[in-house]
Amino acid sequence: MFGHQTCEHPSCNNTALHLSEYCSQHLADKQSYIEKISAFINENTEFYGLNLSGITVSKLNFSQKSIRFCNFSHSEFTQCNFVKSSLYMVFADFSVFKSCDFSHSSMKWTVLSGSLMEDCNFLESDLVRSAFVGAETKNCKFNNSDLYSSRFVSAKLHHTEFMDCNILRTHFEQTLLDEVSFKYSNMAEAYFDKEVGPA
Amino acid sequence: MRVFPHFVFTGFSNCYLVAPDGPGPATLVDPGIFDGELLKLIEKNKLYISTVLITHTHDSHIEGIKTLAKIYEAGIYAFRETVLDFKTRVIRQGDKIKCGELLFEVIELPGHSRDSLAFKIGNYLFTGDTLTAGLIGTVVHAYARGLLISSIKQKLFNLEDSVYIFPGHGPPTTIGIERLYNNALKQAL
Repeated sequence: MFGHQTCEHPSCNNTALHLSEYCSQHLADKQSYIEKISAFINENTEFYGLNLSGITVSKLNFSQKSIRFCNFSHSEFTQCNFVKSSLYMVFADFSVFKSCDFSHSSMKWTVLSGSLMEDCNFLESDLVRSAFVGAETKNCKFNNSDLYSSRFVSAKLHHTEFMDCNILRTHFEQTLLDEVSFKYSNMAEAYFDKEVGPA
Repeated sequence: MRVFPHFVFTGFSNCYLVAPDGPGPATLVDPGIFDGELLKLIEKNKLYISTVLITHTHDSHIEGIKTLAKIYEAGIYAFRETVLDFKTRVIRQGDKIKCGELLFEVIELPGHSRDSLAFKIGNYLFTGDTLTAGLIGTVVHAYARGLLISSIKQKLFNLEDSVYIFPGHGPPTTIGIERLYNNALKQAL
């Protein structure tokens, strides 16, 4: 589902990167691969089953693009534009997002658990049934977003805004809330500081 | 292999369509509902449901069987002998279930309920309510909680970090994420 081909490096069982025969650890020329994959992303609007695990990219434009069943785990994205993008079943766990803009995006069944998000915007977005478990945010804005059934369990949220959000069934248990605002959000319908599992 | 999640709005739960890369027989895990959207997804991909896997028999995970049974002649696999008056094929720890080219392994995980199961296929794991993103399932008493935690530690935490978890409620996760951030399990270590 997240790429089929195994890395050709002897004794490596990792999945090969999209448009490569190797995984990110065994790429011989990382710079030329980044150039190749950047051109591919700029030229296409729909991505399905891509493995981009472990790459470091900046200023890529994912705006208004559809990303489905892709693996972006252990990657680093700086100043990337995800405005009006659609992410569906994307695993971007243990990744780093710096100054990325996800505003007006749609994110469903997507995993950003264990990731660091710094100076990122998620304004007016549908972030439904997505996982931010153990994630760390710094100076992020989720204002006017729908976070229905998403999970921030064990996350560390610093200087982060959730103003006028729908947080129905959103889980914030064991979450560090440091200068976090939930102004105008339906806090009574979210789960805070109590271990609650599914019914 | 492909996994399509389907949100069960009546029970706030997840149903999964597990399909081969091409057309053919497919599996439904926890059909809490069987609605037009799910039928379209199955038909559009030229699939038919030959196997139904039940992680446990709470309503939000089985209600769709009634509609499904009118459309497909699927084998229903569960811990219990009957589900909603439908006869099942009873399964236990270590059993294998074949659906076309798909082969599922059964893992017994008592705790959330006596009949709780997980299904593993390759690097994908369907955990029902036993283990969800950042949380463990609800329990009725302390003994059940201990049972649930020991079930997870013995039978799931021996799997690789890269195993993808598709739970019965909420977003997906991985074994690696749960090992690091699931407080209930960390406290019990």
